[in-house]
Amino acid sequence: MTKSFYEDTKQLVIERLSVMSSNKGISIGNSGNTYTKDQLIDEVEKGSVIGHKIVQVELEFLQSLKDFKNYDLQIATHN
Amino acid sequence: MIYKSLLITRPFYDNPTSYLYHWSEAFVDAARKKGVKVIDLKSDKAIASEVEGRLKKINPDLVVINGHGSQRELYGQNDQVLISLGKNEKLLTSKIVFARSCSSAKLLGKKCVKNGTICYIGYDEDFIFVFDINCINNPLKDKTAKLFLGPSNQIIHSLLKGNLTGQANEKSKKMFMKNIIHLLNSQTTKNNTEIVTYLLWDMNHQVCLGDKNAKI
Repeated sequence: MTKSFYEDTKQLVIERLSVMSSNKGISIGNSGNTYTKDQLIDEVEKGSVIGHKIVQVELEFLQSLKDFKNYDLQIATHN
Repeated sequence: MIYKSLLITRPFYDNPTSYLYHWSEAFVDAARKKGVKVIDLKSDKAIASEVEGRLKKINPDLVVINGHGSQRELYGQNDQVLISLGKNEKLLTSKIVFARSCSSAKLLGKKCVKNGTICYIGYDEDFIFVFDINCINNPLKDKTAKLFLGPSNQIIHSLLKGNLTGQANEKSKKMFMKNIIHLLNSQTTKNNTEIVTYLLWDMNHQVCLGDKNAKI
C-alpha cells in the first residue's frame, strides 16, 4: 500500500466513522479499552495499533462491497 | 443416563467482559434447563487454577471461554492466562470449544485441533462489538450489542439443541447476516453502516476448526 493510498484510506475511514452515532462505543482489541467515535477517529489520525486495525476492518468491508450482489439477493429474498 | 457437561469462564472486570458475562447468562440458564451439568467459573473463579482443575476433574464435553484473547492465549479474570499455546492447550483435548475472544483461532485453535480438540469455534481476528454507551450498566438492555452477542450466543444455543458444530457455526453466521440485512433495510442506514462493517467483520472471521460433524 503506497503512503498516499494509505492516507486517502485513512481520510475515508475518518469520514465513515464521523457518521456514527455519538452514543455508541466500540470494544476492539484485547486491552479492555472501549472507544467512542471521537476516540476512534483520534486513533486513526495518530496511526496507533487500534487505528491501523480500524483501517484494516474498513478496507475489508469496502473490498467486500464487490460481493454485495450476493447480499442484494439476500436482502431481496428477505423482503 | 449420561449427563452432558459445560464449563464456562466469564470474567468480569472491564466493559467488554461485563457484556460477555451478562450475555452468557442466557445459555447458562438454557443449559441448566436441559439438564446439562454447568461449571460456571465467573469473576474471581475465572482463573487458571480453577479452570485447569475442573477441566481435569470433570472433563466437560463443551468448553466456553469468554474474555480477552490473543493468537496464542486465552485470558480470565484480570487478564490471567488460562490457556497458552505450547503450555497447556492439551487441557482442551477431546472437547468442543467455543472461544468468544479475540484472535485465538488463528494459532491456538489450530494447535488445539492438531492436539486432539474435537472442534474449536472462535475468531481468527479481533472480536469487535458496538454497544450503546447509555446501557453500560445494563448490558442485557443493549439492542446494539445484541446484534453482535446474539449471533455468537447462537453457537451455544444450537449445540445445546443437538446441532452439529458446523451447523451451529452456520446458524450463527446466518443470524449475523440477518442482522446486517435488517440494518441495511432500516431507515437510519447512514448511522448503521459502521455497525454493518463490524458485524460483517465478526461474521467473516468466525471460524469452525476441526470436526464440523461433532455434537455434544
